[in-house]
Amino acid sequence: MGFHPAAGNAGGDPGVKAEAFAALYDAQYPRVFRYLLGRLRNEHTAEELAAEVFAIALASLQKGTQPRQVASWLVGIADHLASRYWRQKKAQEPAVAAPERQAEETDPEELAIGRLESGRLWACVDALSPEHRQVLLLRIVAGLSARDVGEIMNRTEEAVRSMQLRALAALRRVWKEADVHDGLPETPDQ
Amino acid sequence: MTGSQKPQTSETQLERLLGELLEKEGASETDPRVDFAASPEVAELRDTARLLRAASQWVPLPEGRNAVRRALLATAEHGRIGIDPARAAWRRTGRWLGTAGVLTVIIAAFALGVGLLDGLGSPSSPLYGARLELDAARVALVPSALGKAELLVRAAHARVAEIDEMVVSGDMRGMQRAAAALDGEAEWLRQIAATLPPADRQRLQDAVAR
Repeated sequence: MGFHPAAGNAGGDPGVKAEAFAALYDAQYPRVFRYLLGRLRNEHTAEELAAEVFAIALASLQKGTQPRQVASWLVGIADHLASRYWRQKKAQEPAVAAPERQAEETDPEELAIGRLESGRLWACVDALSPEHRQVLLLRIVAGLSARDVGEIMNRTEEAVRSMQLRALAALRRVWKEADVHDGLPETPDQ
Repeated sequence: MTGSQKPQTSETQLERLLGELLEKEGASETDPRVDFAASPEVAELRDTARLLRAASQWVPLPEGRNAVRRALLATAEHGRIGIDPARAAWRRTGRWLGTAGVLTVIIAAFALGVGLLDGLGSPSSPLYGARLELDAARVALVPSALGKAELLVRAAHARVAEIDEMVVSGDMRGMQRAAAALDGEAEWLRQIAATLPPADRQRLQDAVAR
């Protein structure tokens, strides 16, 4: 989905039409927030960085940027900000409890996971290698296509498909091991 | 497998299953006409992906989300240079803040707190309107109600000082602008204060009295 910021503006107004940006914000904020919360595991920081993502996006659109795929463009900005955040913190990405934010009640099938199970699953995600973690967050949590994930990770679409298969297999393995031991995973996958 | 002559590898099977899983978010790039049976191993990976997806369906709090939305839309309107002849004049002379600059200031102000924007404009300056917009955006970007209220109290103190300054300098228009801004911020503060618990409200009243 591309985005044409001045679409519908009358009289050659060069700015970003507020209504168009509002629609973009409403449609994409949950995706950006979820991705950032998955990366940062702190809802306040995720909210602050999500605000920064959209502020940067607005400034960029005001300058005439027309992204090919707006979702991946925004998540790409979020990815950059999250990486910068961890660099500035001089810390490893988290090995902490899952966010305690309530699940969105949209799909009963997907709600078959409790908070405890969710916490264990995120601990398993943390046990993956950074690349596996990133591909799963971009592909599954942010819901981007393999092609768009490839653009963010600087990989081909085929490489992303291969990586996501290995990442899911690794997650499945760690999850099963944690299940056998009825606890949290102890060692990183790679 | 009806639409392709090539055998389905595990990777393409998984990609197709993930496409179906994520389809409702518009992320699927798979061809829905092609049907196939995935191997049990790949189906298991799909189930793992489904579990991860279910564990990440977090809902952003409406307060923070709406506050940011309001601030950004105000900025979007603010950035529509060309509607207001006065703004166009500023732009021509290169003295108007660019949108990116405005956003940078908003973000920096959000990160650094009160005080950064204080020198931007007095009520007699043409930049005063922009300064008020930035103050409002800064308040809107603070997630907590108490944080917003504290910023508004400090803004109100600044407006009172500006009114005094305008009276001393004899700038009646400047005084009116500062007074109008004070009215608006006081009303905003009143609305926020009404939502605070009694202890926080008392702290706020103490801060106003100082």
